[in-house]
Amino acid sequence: MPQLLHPSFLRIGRRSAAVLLLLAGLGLLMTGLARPTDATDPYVVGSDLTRVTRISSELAATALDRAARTERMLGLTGLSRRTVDRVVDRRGQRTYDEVTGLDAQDRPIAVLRFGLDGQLQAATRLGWRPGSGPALAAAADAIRAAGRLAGTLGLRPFGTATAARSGANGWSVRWPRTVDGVPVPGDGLRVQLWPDGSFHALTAAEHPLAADPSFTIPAASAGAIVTALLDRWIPLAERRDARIVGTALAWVAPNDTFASARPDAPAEIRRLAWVVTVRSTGSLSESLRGLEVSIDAGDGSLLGGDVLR
Amino acid sequence: MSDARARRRRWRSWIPPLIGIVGLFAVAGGPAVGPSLATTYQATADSNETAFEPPCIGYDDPHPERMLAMATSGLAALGYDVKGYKGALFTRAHVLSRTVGDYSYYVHSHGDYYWHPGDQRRYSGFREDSGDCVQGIVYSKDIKDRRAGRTTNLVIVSTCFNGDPNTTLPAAFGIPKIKAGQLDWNGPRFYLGYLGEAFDNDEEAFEVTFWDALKKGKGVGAAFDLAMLGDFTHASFDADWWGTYIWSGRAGPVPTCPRCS
Repeated sequence: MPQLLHPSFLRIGRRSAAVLLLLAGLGLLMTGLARPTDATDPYVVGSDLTRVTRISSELAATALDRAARTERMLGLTGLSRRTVDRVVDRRGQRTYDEVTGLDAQDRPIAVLRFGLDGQLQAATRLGWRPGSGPALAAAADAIRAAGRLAGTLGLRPFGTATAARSGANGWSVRWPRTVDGVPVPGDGLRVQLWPDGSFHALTAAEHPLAADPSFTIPAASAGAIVTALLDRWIPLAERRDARIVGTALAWVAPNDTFASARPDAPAEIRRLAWVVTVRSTGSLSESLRGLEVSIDAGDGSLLGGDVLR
Repeated sequence: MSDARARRRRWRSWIPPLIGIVGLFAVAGGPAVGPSLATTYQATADSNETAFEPPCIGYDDPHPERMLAMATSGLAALGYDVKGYKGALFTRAHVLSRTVGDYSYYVHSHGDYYWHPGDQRRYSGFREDSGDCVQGIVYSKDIKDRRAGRTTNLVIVSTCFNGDPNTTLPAAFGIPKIKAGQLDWNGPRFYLGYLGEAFDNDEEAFEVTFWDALKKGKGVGAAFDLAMLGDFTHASFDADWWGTYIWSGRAGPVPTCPRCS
C-alpha cells in the first residue's frame, strides 16, 4: 500500500498534536474554568453582564410554546422562527429563558423573557413602529389599553396606574408595586404602548424583600442621620445649598453610591429604608442637583442611595 | 547523513507546532474587531468624576468611573479607537479639540439647557470636569462650530435633559432629530440621551444593558429597546434616540447590521 505521508511528517504531526492538545487544555482552563459559572458570582463592571447557559431540549420546547402563546396575546406577528437561551443576568442576579422571535429574513423582531417559574418577566417588540392607527387621546385611554393587555396575559396589576406620554415614543403605563402601602421602587408592571395603543414593551418585576425590622426608627431620626452626613459630605461654603425636602419609607436595594468598596451591582433583596430626598440650590446645584439617601429603617445604617447630577 | 543535516531536520520538525503556538497567541491576544478599524475611527469618552469625590464632596461616588469604564469597553468592542478622559484631562478645550476627529462620543456629566450670557439665549450642553470644583460648560454651539456639520456616528450623552425634544446637542454632532425605523436607513448615526432629570442608578441600569447588547451584535435600536426593559427605580426615567434604528453602531466604512432588526 503506498504511503501517502512520509514518516517524518507523521512525527511532526504527533508533536504538533501534543503541543496543540496542551494549548487546548490551557485554553479551556483560561476561558472555561476561570469563568464564574452561576449567578452567585458578584458582577464587576467590565465583566460579562449576562451569560448563556445550557438548556435542555425539553425545557427549551416548553419555553418556545409559552412564547408562541404570549406572542399571540401581545399581537406579535410576522415571526418565522424562534430561538431560546437560558440567560444568567449577573448584575440583576436572576436567571431567565429568553426567546427571540425572528422574521423571514432572520432578523430579531421580538424578545420575550420568562422566569424559571414560567412567569413573563419582560417582552419587547423590536423596531421603530409608531403605528398607523388613531393615537390614544389621554392618559386614561392608555391605562385602559395597558390594563386590557395585562388582563389578556393573566397579569393582575394592583394599585393605581399612572401613564406618561413620551412624544412619538407613545405611552408608558405603570402599576408600581407597594407592600402594605410602602413602595418598592423599580418593581411592579410597566407597559409601553405605541401612540396608537399597540404593544411595544412590558416588564414585570418583583424582587424579594428582607424581613420587616422589629422596630422602625422615626422619620425624624433618619433625617437627623442624613443631616449629619450632609454636614460631612457638603463643603462648608455650600452646606446651606443642600436641604432635605422629603423623607418616606421604601423598599430599596442596598448599593455602593456612598461606599464605593461595596459590590458594583445593587443587592437583590430589598430592605425597608427611610429614603431622605435632598435638593440643592446655588453653586452646589451646578454639579449636584440632588441626592436620595437610604437609611435602614431598622438600625439607621446607611444602605446607599442615588445621585442626581 | 551528516550531524549538521540531522540537526537541521530535527529543528525543522518543530516549525509547524511553533507556527501553531504563535498563531494561537496572535488570535487570543488580538483585537476583537479588525485591527485596521481600531486605528482608524477615533472615539472619546469623558466622565465628570472630580465633582463627586473629595474635596468637592465628602464621599467617593463610584458611578463616574464605572460609566466611563463601560463606555470605553463598549466603544472598543465596536471597533473604535477610544480613549477615556476624566479629572483634569476632561476639559472644555479637550472636548473641542478631540471632537474634530471623533466618530463617536460619550459623556457622563451634569447636563442642562444652559443660559449663554454672550448670545443671550440657551443651548444644550454639559459640564467639563477640569479636575477642580468649578466646572465650565461645553455648549452645543461650541461643538457645532468645531464639527461644522459633520456627522458623529454614535453619540451617547449620559446627562440630564439632553434627550429632551428641544435639545440642541444632536444637531451639534450632525445628527438630525429624525428616527429611521424598522426598514429605513438614514445613515450610520445614532444619538442617545435622557429626558428631564435622570438619576445615576437608572442611567447605569440602562447603559449596562445597552453596551452589553451592542457587544453581543445587536443594533443600536434593539440595544435601546432592550435597555429600556430595566428595573428603573424612578418612574420618571426615560430615554430617547434619533438616527437609524437598524445601524450596528460599529466603526467601519461598511455599515452593516446582519443580526439587528
